[in-house]
Amino acid sequence: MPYTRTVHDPVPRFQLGARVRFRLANQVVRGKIVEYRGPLAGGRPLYRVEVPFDTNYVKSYEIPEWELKPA
Amino acid sequence: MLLSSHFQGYCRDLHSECVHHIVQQVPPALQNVLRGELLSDRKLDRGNPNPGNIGADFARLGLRIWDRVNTLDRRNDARKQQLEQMNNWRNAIAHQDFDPDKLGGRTSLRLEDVDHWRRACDHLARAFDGVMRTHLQALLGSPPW
Repeated sequence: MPYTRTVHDPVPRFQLGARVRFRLANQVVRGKIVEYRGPLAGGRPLYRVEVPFDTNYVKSYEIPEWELKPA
Repeated sequence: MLLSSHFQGYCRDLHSECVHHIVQQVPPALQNVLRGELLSDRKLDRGNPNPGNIGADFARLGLRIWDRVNTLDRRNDARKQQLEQMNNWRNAIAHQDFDPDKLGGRTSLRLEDVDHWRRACDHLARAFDGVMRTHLQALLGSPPW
């Protein structure tokens, strides 16, 4: 089933640039949505979120929609 | 360039989906930590879908994908070469730098070349899908899709 794995593309809940928070280990981190990756979390929406850890280190994560909350 | 871009998107999506299934196996508090590490500096996020980048990114998930793909079908080795050639042409077009030494001795592209690459990408996409499905099933105990 390559190329056309998903038949239903859900409407994304968050817009690009939205500020969100999610749990990372035992803390909650805040970041910004930089990409909607599509329904790749077992068929549910997945986002790429950039989290600034300090002034010169930003790390990106792919986080399922159900783990994200508005910051 | 469009074909290379689509194939990159496919490989990147497949990688993300595999990571998603793997991280489900660890405690919830660690899932996003593991997710971040498996995706950190992923070559397919920035680079072309050449055999080296694909091999490096999927190696993080615990397999030599090209060995598996070649075992599945020996013709995949020739398709891998076609993928390399497609990316060489992609770079030549993007940078307007047509070096015959890198482009099979030519500086012009034919429609039949693109047709061959498209077929090669289609076969490789199916092979990657099958190989990763088998790999994850062996790791996780049930088929991921």
